[in-house]
Amino acid sequence: MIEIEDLNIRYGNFIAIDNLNLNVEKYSSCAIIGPSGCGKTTLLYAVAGILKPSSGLIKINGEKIKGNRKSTGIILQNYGLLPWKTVWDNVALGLKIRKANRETINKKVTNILKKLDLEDLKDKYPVQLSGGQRQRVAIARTLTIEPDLLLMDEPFSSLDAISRESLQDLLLRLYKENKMTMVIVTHNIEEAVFLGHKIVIMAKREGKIKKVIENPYFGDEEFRNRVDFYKICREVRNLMEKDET
Amino acid sequence: MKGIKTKNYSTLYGMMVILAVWYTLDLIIDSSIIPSPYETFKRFVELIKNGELLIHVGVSIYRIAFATIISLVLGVSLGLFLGMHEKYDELVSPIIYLLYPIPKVAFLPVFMILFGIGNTSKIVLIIGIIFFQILVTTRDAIKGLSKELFYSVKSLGANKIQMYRHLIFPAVLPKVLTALRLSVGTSIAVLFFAENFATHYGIGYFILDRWTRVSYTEMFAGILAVSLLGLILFKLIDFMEKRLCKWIVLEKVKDGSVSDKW
Ligand SMILES: Nc1ncnc2c1ncn2[C@@H]1O[C@H](COP(=O)(O)OP(=O)(O)OP(=O)(O)O)[C@@H](O)[C@H]1O
Ligand SMILES: [Mg+2]
Repeated sequence: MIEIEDLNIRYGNFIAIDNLNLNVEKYSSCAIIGPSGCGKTTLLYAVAGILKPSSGLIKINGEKIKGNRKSTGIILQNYGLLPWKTVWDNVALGLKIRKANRETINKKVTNILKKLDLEDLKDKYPVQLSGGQRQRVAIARTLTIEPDLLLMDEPFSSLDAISRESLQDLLLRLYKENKMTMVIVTHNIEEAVFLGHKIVIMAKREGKIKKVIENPYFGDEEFRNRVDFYKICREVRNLMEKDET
Repeated sequence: MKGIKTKNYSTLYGMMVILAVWYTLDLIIDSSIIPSPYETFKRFVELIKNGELLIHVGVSIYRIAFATIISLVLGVSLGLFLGMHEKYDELVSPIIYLLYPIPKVAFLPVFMILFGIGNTSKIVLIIGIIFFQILVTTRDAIKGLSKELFYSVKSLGANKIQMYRHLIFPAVLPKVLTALRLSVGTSIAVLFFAENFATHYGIGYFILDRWTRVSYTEMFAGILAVSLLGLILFKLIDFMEKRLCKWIVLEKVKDGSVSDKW
């Protein structure tokens, strides 16, 4: 689904991404983890078509990306919702922009709000919601455009552990129902291991991938309770800690 | 809801306090320079009834409204442009920062020579004041938007017009209303000054004219009219904010029943 070849991204003279190669298969999930400033957001923005690569190639479904792609959904940390729109209007935004007719909008939005348990909140404004509710609305809004690729930049990082896990469960469920490819950037090791089919560990300050771990247990909803979960978490942690010294 | 109710009472409360002070002053200072509230209100009503005050207030409203509309159109469009185009902003901002703080009243003589001594120079003067407020506010409202918000809306497929409609206009609107609220007071004050020159209409002229005629009751009726005019304009802006920017009101009072004060 995503093919990244020899990707370089520079901010002025500063090299943020350095000759990076990565493949993400269709209908799989890729978690990107690494220390602050290693280039995760930069990489995600490039895949989203927000940032133009300095050199190299990003292909999605075999097609070189240039700019915004119609069926790529993006969820960013904290910032995504429009404060002047109600939950309903926020969720309907993508469909309105795509000029869907009123009936389709009503049907799809109702459907998604029900699915994400947001019906009671539909007339509230973002200021009136908790952090977890807001991120659920952000997920709902992205799902209305029926993305085949869902990109997320630390979507749950401001949440407490419990709401975080319940949103991870929700995401896994949606992933299974909707047949899409996911890329999730995170700081959190457990999150990367739970949501990553492929776990990409980036090196500190170099804009490079240090190691890619395949996670055969991905998709198991009870995975967090298994011994293998801890084994993989430890493996990831060890790899990340080696960086520090 | 609770917040709105207290606000209505607060206007009433303000009126009561001022009336009380006024009444006391009238009693203490035994001079015709401070007429009694009762006499003033009576005269006020008479002047409204015979249409005299209405003409003067009407002319002043016309000047303020005209200036406000022009300032809004010019200020918002230039502000949007500068907010969206950093390069031009760098070119224009230094000029604006030099012009913005100059007391525009100082230019009244110049305006009167350039635009004639009639209405135009007075309107231009008020535009000179409001325009900069609106311009700077609009530009800063856009600059204050996070990049992430732009990306999110864009990623949903928004074109330029849709970006303005869903992101930029709603972000700018409440800030512009706040700027208007600030400039209403200034523009009334400045208009009062400007209406002392070369005109026979306007509430400023009325007040000064009654002063020179030593008709203090009518002068106070004029002051009362100015105060009511300001109040109505403030309420109008409040009303628009409540209607158009419901979310801002919510942000100010998250929920009337919960307080963050201990
Ligand atoms: N607009 C920019 N201009 C210059 N340098 C930038 C810019 N954005 C990011 N950088 C630099 O590029 C590097 C990678 O930034 P990036 O935001 O991708 O990191 P990150 O891995 O997402 O970090 P975090 O986990 O803290 O979000 C950082 O060292 C940062 O200082
Ligand atoms: Mg980041």
